[in-house]
Amino acid sequence: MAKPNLTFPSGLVLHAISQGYRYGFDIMDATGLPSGTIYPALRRLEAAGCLRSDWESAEEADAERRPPRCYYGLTPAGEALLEQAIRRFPAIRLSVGPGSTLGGSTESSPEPSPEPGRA
Amino acid sequence: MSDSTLLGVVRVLLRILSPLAPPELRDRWVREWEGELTHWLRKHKSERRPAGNPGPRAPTLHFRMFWQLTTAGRDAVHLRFLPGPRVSENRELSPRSKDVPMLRSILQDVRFSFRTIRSAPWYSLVTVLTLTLGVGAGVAMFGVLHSVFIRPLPYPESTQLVVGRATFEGELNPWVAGADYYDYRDESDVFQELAAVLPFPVEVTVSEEGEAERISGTVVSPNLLPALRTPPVLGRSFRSEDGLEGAEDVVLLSHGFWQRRLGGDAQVMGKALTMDGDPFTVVGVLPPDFFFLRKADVWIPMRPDRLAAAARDRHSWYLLGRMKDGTTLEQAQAGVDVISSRLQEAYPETNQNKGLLLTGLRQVLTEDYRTTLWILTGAVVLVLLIACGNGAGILLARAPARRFELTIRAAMGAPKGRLVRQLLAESVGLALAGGALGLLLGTWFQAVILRYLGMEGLGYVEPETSPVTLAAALGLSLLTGFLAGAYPAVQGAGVSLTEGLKTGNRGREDGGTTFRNGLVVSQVALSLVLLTASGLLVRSLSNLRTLDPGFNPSGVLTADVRIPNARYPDSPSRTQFFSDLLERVRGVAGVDAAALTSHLPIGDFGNVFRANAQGRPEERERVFLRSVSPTYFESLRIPIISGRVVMDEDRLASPSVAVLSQTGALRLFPDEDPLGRVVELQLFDTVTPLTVIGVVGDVRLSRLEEEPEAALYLPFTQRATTVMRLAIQTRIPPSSLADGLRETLREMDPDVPLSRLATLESLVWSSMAERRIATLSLTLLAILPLLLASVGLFAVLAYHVSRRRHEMGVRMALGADVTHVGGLVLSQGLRLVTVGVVVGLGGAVAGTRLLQGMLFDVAALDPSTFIAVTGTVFVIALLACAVPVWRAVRSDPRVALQAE
Repeated sequence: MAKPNLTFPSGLVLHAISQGYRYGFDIMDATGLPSGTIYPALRRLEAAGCLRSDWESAEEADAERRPPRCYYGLTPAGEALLEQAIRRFPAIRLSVGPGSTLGGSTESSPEPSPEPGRA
Repeated sequence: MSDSTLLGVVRVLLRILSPLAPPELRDRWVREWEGELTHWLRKHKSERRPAGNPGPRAPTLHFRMFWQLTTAGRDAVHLRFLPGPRVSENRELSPRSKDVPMLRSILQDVRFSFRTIRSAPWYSLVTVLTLTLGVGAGVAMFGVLHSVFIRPLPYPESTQLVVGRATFEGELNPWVAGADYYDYRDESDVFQELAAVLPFPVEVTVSEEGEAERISGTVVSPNLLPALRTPPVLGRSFRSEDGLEGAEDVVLLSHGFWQRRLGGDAQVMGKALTMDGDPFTVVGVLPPDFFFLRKADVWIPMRPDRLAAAARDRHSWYLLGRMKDGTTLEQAQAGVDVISSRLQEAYPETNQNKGLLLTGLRQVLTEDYRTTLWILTGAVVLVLLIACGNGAGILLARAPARRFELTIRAAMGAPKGRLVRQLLAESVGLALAGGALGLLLGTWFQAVILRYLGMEGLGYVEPETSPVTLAAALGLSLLTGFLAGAYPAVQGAGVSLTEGLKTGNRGREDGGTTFRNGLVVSQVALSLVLLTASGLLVRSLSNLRTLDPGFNPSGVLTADVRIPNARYPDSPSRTQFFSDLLERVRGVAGVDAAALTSHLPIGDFGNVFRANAQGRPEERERVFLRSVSPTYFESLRIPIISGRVVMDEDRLASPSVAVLSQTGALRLFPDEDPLGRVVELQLFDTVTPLTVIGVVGDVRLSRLEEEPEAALYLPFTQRATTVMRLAIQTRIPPSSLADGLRETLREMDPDVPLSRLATLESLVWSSMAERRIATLSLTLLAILPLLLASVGLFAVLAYHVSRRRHEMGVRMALGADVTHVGGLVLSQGLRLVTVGVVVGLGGAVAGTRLLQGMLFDVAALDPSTFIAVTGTVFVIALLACAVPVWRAVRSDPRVALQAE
């Protein structure tokens, strides 16, 4: 069974997701990491059970006339891993936030945005 | 492109890429990326316009969209390497690398090695090129060996095929008498089929459907095709009654000839094809590319009444047997030995001590090449090892620069095995890149080897790039990578933490120096020997090209004209035909002058005859006969030394006359003027007296290398043959004359073909083909080690400089100037080269003697060649030194002192 490698990029990804950035490209924009790093990290974390993925509702997608998107959320294991990651790399807390600028003011951790509704 | 079209295209591309993802995740992967990419496109469209900024233009956006597709593709591949989507709770989260699954960590190594390779592009390039040479040579040799020894022959169950060759008192004399063949065929019980093939090509003239043409033919026993298990694609094979005396004449056509000459017409079956004036019924068409021993346009059945096939003392057949299932070669040999003994008893006058030796077909086809191939293989293994050694040398040269990095990684907890693997991944990666290039080089080199060995003639050997060759390239690359990387990797990974961190980038001495120096010296020596040899061959070739062959080939077009024996049975009719021909050819537009000869001065040796001055039969000399028309000497600009040349007035009725070449005159009449004297020419069983009417300059009769021989020119009006060569002087492009000549010939006799149309210059040029190929191959073989030697020298010096950079900085800080520091490096390089050159010169002096036979007008110890080659080696060596020297003189004293 795979154990996720606790790297700085994985931590950033977990943190971004906890901050409400739930889609691949959004996480990319939020963390500033390249796609070649984001996707493997997402896959690894999901395979390790730290993330779960789900699909947004069909109505929502239909309303915008586009295919539904896959979004990610933290599992309890993922939250635990994020905690570990923040202990190891405190900079993670500073790096992801609204405006997705490194070192932005994210002192007050904002409420996670509600998950999109299910069909 | 509108957005919806673009998204449609993206969707299709995603489907195409989807097999990259593992099957169970494929659907999800496609859907996810559809969503993501759609979103991405919209987002970039909507974000596009803050006032005044139109955002990225559509093409840029589209391009970036496709770029995102590569991300999707990489994601799909990545999914494959994930260890299953199961989730287990209570797992310990550990970052230790040994917990990383093997495959993934190897991927990491590969990725990391890509970055390292990219970070030192020049080192990497030199390493890749070095390994390219090694792998390329290896791949080429492997391809050759595979085609020659392993690839199945193009006949089903070819291991059952054996060749039967006659032996006389145990000595091999390859061909078998026709009558013996019939006895072996009828009496033996070890063969499914025993077939016979005429080992020489025959030429026949076809005159059906359009103009007459000379084509290649072969004569085979009717059971050859069943023996090879090759049925015709159209019509029927030969039947055994086709091989009986007096049977109807039948013929099988090659696929190519059927397509080319008869337009692939299936109706041709059962019709007659006129060959050499006789009608042959077409019974079938052979498969495309079919050949045995050679390709031929028409296949004619062997018959007792043809080509002396019923004789027991005319040995002219090559036997091919297919053994019965389960019969071994030994059993088959025992079977034919019984028949040989019986024949020896029955026909003592012809068959005494005669036997039949059976040998596997592949063995026979390859036996001439075996030794050469193994020698070449040895040379190639050497080149591969040298390339590996050089690769290792370069990687070692990098070691000091990387020692600090490796120490840091070790200090951070990287296990030694992981570091070794990382370094090996780098060398293997470089070798794989080298392998890809090597495959290209190897395919080309393979063709050169095959041509050099003349194996194309075997028909079944041709350059190939098969899965086997690809696998060989891959295998060789991996092997090369490991061989080149193993020592540097173990060396590099064995860092001592305290030592490494203390000394930083300054390495310590390691034990490989002597090895690398020895490698450079031996490579320089080897390349000097080979370069000298190739230099001598190049000089021979240029000597030959500037040689005066005794005639002037420029502007001369030649062609063969062959008249059928049946229609022109005697001298007067032949003379008449060729006289008319000459007259008409002179009338063709573009022809300045025309002449006839029975043998061209190049490539047409002809039979040797014996002649002597009248009254001195004991002083017989070899002479070569040429029947020529009066204008021959003028057309080829062969100088007349004394007397006159042949004239139209020299007829059958008038006295027989001859013109001697200068050498002939000297040999036959050493002490006297030959004009008016009589030469006695031995023609088979008769002696013909000829009066010498003139002496002309010598020409080289067959090959440019041969010294001129004695030639006897007879007027074609007194000795006409059925084949004559036209020699036409023209000032227009020779090819434009072809149609006019063919038309002229067709008007005279539609059954007479014009063949081998070529300029005399091109004949002279192609007569040097073998020598050119030998020279080219040897030059390539010489350049290879020279390149490797310069790379090796570069590696040694680079290593030296990187190890002593600090020292050089200190020297410069203490006042040493650029020339001093550069001189240090240069002198080290030149010392190695000088040792190599001295050793190499010794080898060259000893080795070039072996070449003596191939040299032309140049001594084996030609000083100018030796000097030029030595100079070349030094110049190349100086170039190889340039970069390390430059790097040494750029050592910055400040950096050196800072590090203290």
